Amino acid sequence: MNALSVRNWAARIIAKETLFRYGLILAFIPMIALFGIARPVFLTPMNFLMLLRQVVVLSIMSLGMTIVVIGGGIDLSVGEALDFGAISSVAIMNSGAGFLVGLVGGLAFGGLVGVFNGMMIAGLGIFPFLATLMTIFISKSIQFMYSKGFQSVVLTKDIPSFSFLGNGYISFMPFPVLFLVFVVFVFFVIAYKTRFGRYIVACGSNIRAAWLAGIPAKQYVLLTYVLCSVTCALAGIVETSRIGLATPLQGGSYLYDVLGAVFMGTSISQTRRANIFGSVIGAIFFGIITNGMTLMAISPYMQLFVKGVSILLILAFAAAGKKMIGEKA
Amino acid sequence: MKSRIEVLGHGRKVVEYVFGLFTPIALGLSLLLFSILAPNFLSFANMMNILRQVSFVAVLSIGLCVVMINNDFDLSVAAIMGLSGAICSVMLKLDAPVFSAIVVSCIAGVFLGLINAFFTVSIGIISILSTLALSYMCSGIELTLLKGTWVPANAEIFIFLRDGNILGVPTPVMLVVIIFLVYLYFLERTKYGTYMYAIGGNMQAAIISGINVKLLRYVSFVVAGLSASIASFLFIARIGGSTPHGGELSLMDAFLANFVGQSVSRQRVYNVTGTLIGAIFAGILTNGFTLLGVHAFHMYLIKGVVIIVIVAISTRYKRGVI
Repeated sequence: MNALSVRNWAARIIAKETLFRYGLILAFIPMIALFGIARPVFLTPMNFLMLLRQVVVLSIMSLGMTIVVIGGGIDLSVGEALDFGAISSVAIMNSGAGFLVGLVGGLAFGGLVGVFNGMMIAGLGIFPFLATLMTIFISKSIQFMYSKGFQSVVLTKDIPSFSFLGNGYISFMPFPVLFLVFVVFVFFVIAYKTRFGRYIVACGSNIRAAWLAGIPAKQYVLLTYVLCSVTCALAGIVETSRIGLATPLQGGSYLYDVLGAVFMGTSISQTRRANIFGSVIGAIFFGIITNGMTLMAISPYMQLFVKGVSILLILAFAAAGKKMIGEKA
Repeated sequence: MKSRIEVLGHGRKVVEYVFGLFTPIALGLSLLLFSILAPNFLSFANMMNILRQVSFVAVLSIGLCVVMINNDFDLSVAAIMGLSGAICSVMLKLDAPVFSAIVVSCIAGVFLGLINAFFTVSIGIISILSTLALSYMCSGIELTLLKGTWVPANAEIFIFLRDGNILGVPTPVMLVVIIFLVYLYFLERTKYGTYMYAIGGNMQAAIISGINVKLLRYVSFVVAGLSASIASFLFIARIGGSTPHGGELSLMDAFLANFVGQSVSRQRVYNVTGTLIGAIFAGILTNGFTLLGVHAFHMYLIKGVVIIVIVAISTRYKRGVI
């Protein structure tokens, strides 16, 4: 090995690409150190478990969004699907049904949001940003109509299996965390081991080519939106089971975190595409930011600002990374 | 070769014609509906009222139109409007001179437009995402400044902006007309305006033909930010101060105005004249349904459905399906 090849090798190690690929992961270290020094309680195992419990909802939502982004779209109405799932499941259980019926009903109502999105996007050909933005507005109106001025819907019955979903423990592990692991596994299988997963990658890369290759592209795009909304409804049900009531418009604030998590996840894949594990890591990143800032007693208004800045930087990072491997952002 | 209409047949031609006229028909129908159902709707006082109400939305959407002509999106205009209004009100509360408050708000609008442009044009983030993130930041700062409550803005000039008349025309309407004429001149009568339409038509082609695409996209974002600041003065004059998330509904109105503007042009491109018509249309919808006693939150539903229908028709029209 001569001197030149050593230098090349060293250059590659610190090459921009490596930096861009792992830069966001490395950003964890100073952040955790900062929060740990400012608030020692941040580093305790108890807080860590709590943090994991806090990110469950966000992670599940990011998984749904990941599927849509892989399929070449975007869904700004994730929070509204969460609201639909949460409110309808509580309403169904309040009307006397059991846990299972409430769960399925909530998922179905959440799925309706996805069907609406998918029909606008795949059927009418409206571009996804605008269509899902309109879904946000329309669902605000519908929730207002249902809840008579945004009153919370409180779960009036005691359903042990339902509250176990959000509050239970299996030895020391919170049940929702185990549930998240299960959901991640399911999404891993869906995205990488099924025909559906392959097809939506094709649709996301070039929908016309996918259609010419014999994939029913529009139907698959519609399915990605339905899957995303059902997933977000599931996240809403998990959240509801933890706090025992569903508040209209509670999901809207998740949108930015979900976008941030998914686009952060793109940086760790070699092709800079949305991927399952990246999104989960991104969600944990946002969980750490929220948890740490709350521990440092930063006002929620400033948290909005800090999150906005970090999402902007993450998006810039993702775009720069894509540019470097020669793809259009 | 047969023309498309010949191939599709005569029935299709009628359908094409009717769908092409969807927006004027909708405008006419809503005017008819409101004038029948709400007796006060057609009165002169109410018409003036609509024009005053719509003034800030008009300025906001004309600014947004400049960005949309470039085929970019700016979801942050409403948040910029809220933030620069908040800056102005808070400075007035701290006994700053009115002039400096207005100047600082305008600078804030320009600066936020620059941030949008930097992340969208130079870094290359999709414009919808970067402006969405910026709107998040803006509402964070806005809430911090307002401390989550209502801050009044009392100054002579705002009362003049709300109630005054210039040459018999209400001040806000006059302001809108002036801004509209300036933008119209810039977009339709200068080469830079033509360049912007070229960028919107095909950005790659515009770059190749030597147009300074980056500069023009920067300019358009800055113009949108500045327009949002000017709209914020009309807004705080109208409601007498700043309220947290006060500008939220106007984002939808601004987009509605632009899509209406797109649908009334024959080539289905965004244009300021159409956008002004669209802003008035949005104002008529708001005013009419308010007179009928419809709650503000149901306005979301109504306007959302109108936007979806208009965009769906425009999309199909562009593809030549209808």
